[in-house]
This record gives sequence, structure tokens and C-alpha cells, in this order.
Amino acid sequence: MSVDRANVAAGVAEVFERILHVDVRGADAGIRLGSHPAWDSVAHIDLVLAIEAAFGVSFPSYQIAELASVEQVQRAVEQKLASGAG
Amino acid sequence: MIVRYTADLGVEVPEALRKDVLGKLWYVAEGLTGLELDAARADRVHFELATPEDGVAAEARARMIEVAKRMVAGYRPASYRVLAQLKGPGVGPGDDPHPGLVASSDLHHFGRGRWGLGPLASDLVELLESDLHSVGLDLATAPHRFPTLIGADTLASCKYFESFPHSLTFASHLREDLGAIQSFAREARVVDGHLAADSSAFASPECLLSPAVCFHLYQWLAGSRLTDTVRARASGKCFRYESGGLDGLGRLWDFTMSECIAVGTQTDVLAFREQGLERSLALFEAWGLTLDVHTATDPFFVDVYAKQALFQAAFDLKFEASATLPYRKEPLAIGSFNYHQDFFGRAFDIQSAEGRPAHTACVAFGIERFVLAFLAQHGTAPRHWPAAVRDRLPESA
Repeated sequence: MSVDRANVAAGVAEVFERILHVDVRGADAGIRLGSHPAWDSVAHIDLVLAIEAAFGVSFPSYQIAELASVEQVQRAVEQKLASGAG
Repeated sequence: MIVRYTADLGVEVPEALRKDVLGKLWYVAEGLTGLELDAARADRVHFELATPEDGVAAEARARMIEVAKRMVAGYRPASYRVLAQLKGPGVGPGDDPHPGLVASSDLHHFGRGRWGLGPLASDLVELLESDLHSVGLDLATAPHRFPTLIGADTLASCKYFESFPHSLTFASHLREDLGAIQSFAREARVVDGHLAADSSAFASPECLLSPAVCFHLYQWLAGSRLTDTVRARASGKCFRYESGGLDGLGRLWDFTMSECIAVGTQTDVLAFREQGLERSLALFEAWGLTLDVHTATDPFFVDVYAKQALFQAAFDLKFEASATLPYRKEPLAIGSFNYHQDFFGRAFDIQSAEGRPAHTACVAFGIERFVLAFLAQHGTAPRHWPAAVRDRLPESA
């Protein structure tokens, strides 16, 4: 299943803005889990739950801590969507 | 007459979630005297009421459905990892040690969740505490003693009210009101094992009975700017009310916890937990225990269950030592190794030597559970016990 990467990137950026109030395509580009005050481990769970809800996907618990950068989140969403897995 | 009711939950409860869901269902109504999942259907429970009444049953049923749906909705299979496995010299005959210990006056049941230990079990507790003292020394901890009462403000800072409200035990006293005190003195009586008295005579609780030991240390260090990582050890009585689940030494309302605690930099605290785990494995081995150490999550209350459990699982915050109980299918958690990131550092404004919110970890043992696991696995006759334990018993044992 082909995935529109631009759409995924836009969707991920929107979730980051909504949950963490950061602009990952602008001033906050390159932030990682733990590198920005808004993105601590507690907020990370809220972020992942929101990403899952936005894209209709679900990540196993062992993968969640690995979604530590915007790129890693995007890639993980793309992989889930491409495999057709929820 | 016992009336058995049925609740169709509207969702199938996954096997891994059944214990936690059932544990929470006990809290939906007073007077539940029996509660079990249907043997064949994962979406059905059966329950009994002390006073059978259809209206009460209907309300209980509705709440059970609500609880089950909420917990199942947020559930995702956790990938628990086994970190260590120990196989003791031999798992014993498999009998539940409680009846024999009661018969020999080595155990006394005072009431729900309240058991007294006689000489045999107490000798084991003393040996265990001596060994835990050594573990504490190896971890370079300093001894502390804390109150059994804990301030409501401390538990609020720990967010305990929202995480585990169902397990709280409150402490109160009569209000400083002469009339109320005199009325209590005249009228208070015990009915069906409960104190019957005018509840308006009781003061609003400023303290509760502490559910854990380490919270006291965080409160003690509140506002501190640490120059080095603090390492402490303490033991104390802890209280967790488990409706429907209070069951022998394995699930006490009033139990003893022994903890080693670290407060400081992330590096130091994670190393502390790792060292605590290594030393504990050596202890378990010396006592000949058969157990697993695995990642785990706490039994959070319904409303926060899914998110908090996911948080613990995602960041490997909790390891649990679960010992085999030969007479039961389910193992028993006898110890845990917990990393709290900077949660308590932030909650209590404790700064590490790095100038950041302190990280914390604790290595905790449930003393009575440890003893139960030992007796269940090795039996109650000292001649069958591992020499490392048997040879240190007092001569009178």
C-alpha cells in the first residue's frame, strides 16, 4: 500500500503542534524526546496516543520509547500505514 | 439464600487483563461477596451480594460494564520481558502452608487482610531482615525510620489519589468536640465486625496509613538541592486495601515493606536499581527460591489505568520478582525494582547534583510475601530448607 509521505509529515507536525505546542517544521525542528521541555516522557505518552488516534495505528509498548525523534515517528507511521496494519 | 447474578460486560476481556479487571470490579458496589469471570466466556462475570436485591444488582452490573469497557478500550498487549529466571533446589509438596501454620499457632488470622506471625514465620522474617540489611549495606544506603502515618499532602504530591484511590486506608480521630466525644463513648459499638458510630464525630483525615515507604524520603528531601545522590534504606508497615482480594499472607491489608531508595542523578539512580537487582538475585538464590524477574506494570485505578500502564511499560520503569506458589496457578510478586524518572524529583522539588529535577529508584520487598513464597516452595519443616537458611535459625526453632 503506497503512503503519501507529505501527508504523513503534515499530520505528524499537526499532532506535535496540538499536543506539545511545538513547531517541528520551523523553530523546533530537530527536537527529540527529552531535548525540549515540552517533550518529556509523560508528554511522550500523550503524543504517541494522539499520533495513533490521528492515523488509526497502534504501536506495541516496546516500540514507544524508540519513537524519540520526529523522523522516527514519521517513519513508524509510514511503515504502519504501508503494511496496512492498525 | 445465595443469589448468583450475571453481568454481560459487552466486551471480551483479554486474558492478560483479566486479573486487573476482576480486581477493579470488586470496587463497584459494597456487599459483593462473590465475583468471578465465567469459565467459558471472557465477556461475562458472575457475582453475589451479601443482601440480594435486584436494584443493587442492576446498579452493580451497570458499573461493571462501565469499568470493563473502559479498561479494555485502552488496553494494548504489553510485551513483558523476562530479565532473570531462578530455579530453586526443588519446589516443595505444593501445599498451601496457611492451614498447617494456623494449626501449629504459627499464623493467626485477625480479620480481613490482617495476619499475625508466630515463631516459625517470625524467625524467617528476622533472617530475611538481616539479609536485607546486608543488601542495604552493599548498596551504600544509610538507615532511616519513617512514620507509619503519611500526610495527605504527601500522597497528593505523589498523585496517589488519582492513581490508586481504591487502595487507600485513612486515619482519623474524633473531633475536638466534647459532646461528640462523649456521645461516641456512650454509643459506639461494633456491628458485624464494623464500628457503628456517628461519622460526623470523626475529623477529616490529615493523614493516611502509608501505602509505601519511599514516599516519606521524598517528602523529607522536598526542596533540597542535593550535592550527591542520596541512598537510603528503611522498612515499615504499609497499607493497601484490596477489596475482594485480601487473601492470606499473599495479599495483606497491613504488610511490611523493606526498601532501598536512591535520589539523585539519572546515571546514579539507574545504576542503583541495577545493583539492587543483582544483589537481590543473589539473595533469592541463597534462599533457594524459584522465581522470574520481569518487566511489569502497577494495578492503576480504572480512569488512569491504560495510560499509566503504557507509560511504565514503554520506559521499563518497573521490574518485578514473581515467585512460584506451587499450590496456585498464579505466581506471587515478592519484590520490585522501580525507576520513577524525575517524577518525584519534580513533585517534591528535589534537585540532583546536576542541578536538574532528581531521579529516583527503589528496590522493595514485601516481607510477608517473601516468607510465604519460601514456605510454599520449601514446606514448613526446617529440615527441608536450604542450609543457608536452616543453619542460621536460632536454636529454639
